[in-house]
Amino acid sequence: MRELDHNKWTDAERTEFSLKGWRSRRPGEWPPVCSVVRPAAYAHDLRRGVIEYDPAWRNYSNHTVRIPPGTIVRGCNFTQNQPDTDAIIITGPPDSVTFIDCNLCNVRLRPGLIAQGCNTAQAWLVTTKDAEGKDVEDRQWVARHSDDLTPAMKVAPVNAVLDRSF
Amino acid sequence: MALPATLVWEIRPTNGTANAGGGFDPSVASPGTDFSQQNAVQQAYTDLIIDAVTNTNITSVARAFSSVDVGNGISITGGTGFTTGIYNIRSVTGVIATVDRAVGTTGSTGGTGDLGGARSGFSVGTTTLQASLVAGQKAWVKNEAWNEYVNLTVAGATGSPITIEGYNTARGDNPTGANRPLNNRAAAAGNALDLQGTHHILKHLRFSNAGTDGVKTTAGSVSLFVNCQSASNGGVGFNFTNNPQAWLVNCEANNNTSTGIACTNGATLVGCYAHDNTGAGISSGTTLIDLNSCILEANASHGHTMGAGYVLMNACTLDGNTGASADGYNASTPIRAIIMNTIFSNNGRYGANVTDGDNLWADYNDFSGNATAARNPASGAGAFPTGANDQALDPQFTDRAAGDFSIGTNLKALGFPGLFPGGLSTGYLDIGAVQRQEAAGGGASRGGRIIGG
Repeated sequence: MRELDHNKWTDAERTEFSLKGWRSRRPGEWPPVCSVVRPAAYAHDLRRGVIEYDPAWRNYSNHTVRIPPGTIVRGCNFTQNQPDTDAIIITGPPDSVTFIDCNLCNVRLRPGLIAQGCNTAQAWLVTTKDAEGKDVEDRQWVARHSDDLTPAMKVAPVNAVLDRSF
Repeated sequence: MALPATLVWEIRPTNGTANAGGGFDPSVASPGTDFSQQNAVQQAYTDLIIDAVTNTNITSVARAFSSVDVGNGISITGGTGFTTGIYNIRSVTGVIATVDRAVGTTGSTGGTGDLGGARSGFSVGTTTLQASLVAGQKAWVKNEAWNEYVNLTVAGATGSPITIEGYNTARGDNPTGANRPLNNRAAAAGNALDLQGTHHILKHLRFSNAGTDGVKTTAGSVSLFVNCQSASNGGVGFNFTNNPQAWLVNCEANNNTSTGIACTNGATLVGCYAHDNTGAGISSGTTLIDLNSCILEANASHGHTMGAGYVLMNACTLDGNTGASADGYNASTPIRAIIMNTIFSNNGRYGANVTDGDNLWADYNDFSGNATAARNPASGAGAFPTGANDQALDPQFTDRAAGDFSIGTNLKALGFPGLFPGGLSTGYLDIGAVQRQEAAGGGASRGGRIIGG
């Protein structure tokens, strides 16, 4: 797990924290995002930066993930905020990694990638009004697979939620 | 008369027939042979005749009715003067079958219909099974390839629920995992199951890959789901937004594109598992939600999110719900809440986060490894309470990455209640949804179960 004791941070980490309000995550720190530690490429909570795949962790939502060839990934959550997000980096041929029973919602599935029993739906996160007129977030489904996306489907609706900064 | 409440239906999604008789009533006087538990129809009639005097009596020359037919269903599909529908043979006198209600106009000939055989679905056929259900009936679904939109509009009643139960190879074999029937919608638009009637019981069924929700209930159902799963749907797994009093036991909602289980108007969940959803594991509204021994983990949003409402959370595990804005438990201002024996661990922000926690009672919980802090607010007015018996210990999950949340020794026997009022009994419950598994013999478990089958 992560090291939250600032006294155990490096000088560079403390400097980074003073500038950005958080320091870069060290490999193996889980959960990968918190208020004071985030992946170096973290942009906002719906685009959380690049992390490595680790069998000890299953929730990679809104991250880009590097996965080594030969890996069988079972029951992990790779959900992305926007359809057709290039979120999986396989450091080898696409068919060298098998995804089983994973949530690949909004992930761009490259040709050859093997997905068995996975959710490959593409859906926009949008803001709508509930019965009382309050703003609520909902998912607007557009396609069952990234291959089915048309150019029009890739255009964000006007009520799409694209950024969530903290 | 109408179809009897004691009628038992059989659905075999792949090998059944759309217009099969589909059901058998074992309670009828002098029941014959049950032809519903077979793939093919027993007889496909094309020469049915309605009696010249009594419009509930039918005959056939090609295949005469006999005593073996009593109790079986016959699906009338056409013929001038015939009313299409699924009928039940209540008795046979000679070669004359008497069914439960009028079949059409007396003296009509050339009717078509199928006797016996399993149905291939709820929504198929000239007359659908889902439109023919009656309160009190039971439908068995065999584990075969299944893809149909099911819309259950007929209500059960108190004491007469409509029960739909999946089986693998033999009725009542209580299947788990992949042995449960799976209604895989293959990304078809809409929901896999709409439940619009009240008082339904669904057991051992799976729903997946619907364009919208896996299961959606409306119009005030009082429904019970046992050992059901809703996964990889384009919307919510189980959507009880308009459904007061949803009850779920040992159910699983995972990999859905929105919330795992949404229950705005109150629900009771026992031993449920909501994980890897794009939204929160569970969301609830103003009405009481009762969470007992549930695991909410690895969701892309909060484990449990709720507005100003009521919650009883006992012996749950909320782990690894990540993001800079994701908490294990996230609520605005609970009107009344009891939270105990629960593990909040490894969540992206707070273990428990409320706008105002003054109405909460929380104790005997464990907070570990939450990225920002255990509680928010941690002190002052409106703080999430810090219980005198709270822990901040590593739960030592056996294998959380593989979904095994049984704890180690750290939280063993630290749960509530310990010493009961009166001082005569002492409990030794573990904290968390899954109790410690002792090295030999298992044991020390509060109601062992298979999460999610």
